[in-house]
Amino acid sequence: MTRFFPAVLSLLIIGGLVIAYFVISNDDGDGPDFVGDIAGGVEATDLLSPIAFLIPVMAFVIGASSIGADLKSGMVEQILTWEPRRLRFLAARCVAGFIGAALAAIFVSVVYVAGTFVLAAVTGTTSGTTGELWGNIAVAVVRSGAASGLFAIFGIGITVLVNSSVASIVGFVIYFFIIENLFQVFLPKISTFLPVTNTSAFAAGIDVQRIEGSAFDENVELIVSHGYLTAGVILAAYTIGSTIVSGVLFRQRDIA
Amino acid sequence: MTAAPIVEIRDLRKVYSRMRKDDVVAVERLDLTLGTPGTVHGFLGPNGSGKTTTIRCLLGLIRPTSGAVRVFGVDSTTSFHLAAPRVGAMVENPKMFPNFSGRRNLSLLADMAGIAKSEVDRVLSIVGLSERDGDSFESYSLGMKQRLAIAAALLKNPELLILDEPANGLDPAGIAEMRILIRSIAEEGKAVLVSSHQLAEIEQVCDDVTIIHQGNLIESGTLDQIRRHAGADNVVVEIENRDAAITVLAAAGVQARPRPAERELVVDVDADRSSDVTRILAEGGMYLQGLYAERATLEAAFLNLTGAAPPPPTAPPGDSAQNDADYIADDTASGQTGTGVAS
Repeated sequence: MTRFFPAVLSLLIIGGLVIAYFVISNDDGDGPDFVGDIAGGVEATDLLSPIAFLIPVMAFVIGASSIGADLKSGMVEQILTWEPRRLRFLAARCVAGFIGAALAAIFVSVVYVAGTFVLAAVTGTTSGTTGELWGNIAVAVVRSGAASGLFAIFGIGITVLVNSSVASIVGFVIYFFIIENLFQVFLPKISTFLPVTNTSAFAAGIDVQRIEGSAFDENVELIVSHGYLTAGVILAAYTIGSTIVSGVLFRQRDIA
Repeated sequence: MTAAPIVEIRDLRKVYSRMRKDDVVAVERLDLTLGTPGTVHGFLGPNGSGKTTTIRCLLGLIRPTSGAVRVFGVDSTTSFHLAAPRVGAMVENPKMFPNFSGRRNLSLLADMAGIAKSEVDRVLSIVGLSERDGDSFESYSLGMKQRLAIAAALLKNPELLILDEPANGLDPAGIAEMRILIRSIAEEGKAVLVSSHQLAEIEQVCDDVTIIHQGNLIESGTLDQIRRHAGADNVVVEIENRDAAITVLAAAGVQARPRPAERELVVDVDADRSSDVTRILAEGGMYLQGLYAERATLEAAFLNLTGAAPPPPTAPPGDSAQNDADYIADDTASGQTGTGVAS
């Protein structure tokens, strides 16, 4: 990890700034107007929602990698001859994964927010922003960290289940880009209870919405399914569920 | 109260279930007891005989299908954590974080067990890796990786050291060092369990031996007890006129067979009767160019017990097929242990 740390840090900084640039410079006529300005009336949730989609991907990769290194190198076998209590080993990896993913999410959020303010100040104005906005941003950033940490533990659980970080990350990418979107189109009611949707909603602090009727209608109507706190509870349920299942399996599994 | 054996395996059975394939029985009804500190116990078997599976059961890494596995009286399957601080192990191929240096890998393990950093220096020095401790694990040769894994096993200063194929990947000098290391560890009063299929190495380092084959216990005992399965010792004679010597010996009631080497023959007498051989030949007007004893080897015993095929012959040109066959039988039943009794 030490060898890759500068590269990972650079990637997080560049990623945060790139998203900040697109948010500030793009005006699609939908949602709050950030074109050149972060003026009074802007909500912290509006500001942070564009990077919320990034949180589950980043968190899953961090979580899967944190235990994947043990699995891939075979070091898990060496470690278990030192600390044979497997649930302790798994708990240690979950704690490490939570902290790593939470810090990464907080870091990228801070870079992003800083980027948007600098770009807004350069290209327009930040007049009218208040201390309350900064307080709300701080809360939202911490919540992003918590969402990221929980989803990293979910990623650890899935990786233990499939016994490979590569398989779990590839599977997650397929799920993230294809399967969950298919649910949103064809089974919208179920889609509101899926992990990525709820993680993003909790991280951004926004309601979970679903399509009413057919996604192929011209005028698609979105209705609120539940709020971000419920999304957080659903995320926690996924985390706890995957941790219990993976813990039971890991305790029984032959390490060979 | 009698102390529990260091290792106690009773009726161990391990079956691997496979999807859409027949189950694989890795170990079948194995018993093993290792009770004496300060001894080296060899655990022998061909590849796939169940050695590593047994060791993994001992370390709580895999669950036996049935049977009991205890280390220091502790059930390995459920409570190995109680015995773990007293057990150092290297299982199969060395496994460490590839991007970490050798020292960092060991430090990570030392931190986990609250072991002082000075111990890392000590074990690196023992295995001869002090000079390369800062290099990444992935840059190490197989032999260096093997030595680092042994260093990790020694880090706990264990009462029981389990080494699975420790000589893999080592050059001859490394193998010799390994042998000395294992003996020195045993001399410190620790028990060592060494699994291997390199029989010559085991023979030089072990006090007791257990042989398994296809998951079954074949034989267990001291080296001398095991060697008895190889048959009797022999005497090898170097002489100019081999065929005439065979005739002279046969006339005296001593059986002898030609060896592939042009002037060698194997005489079926114990080594302590070599003087009889020299006397018979001298009385027949024949004089030896050399004579040495060939002792029964562990390898021969192992091949006899496991029914494994002997190594292919390396017949010299001009020898008959019968001689080749004799050579094979002889070579698997005995090994050279001494040289140079001039005639």
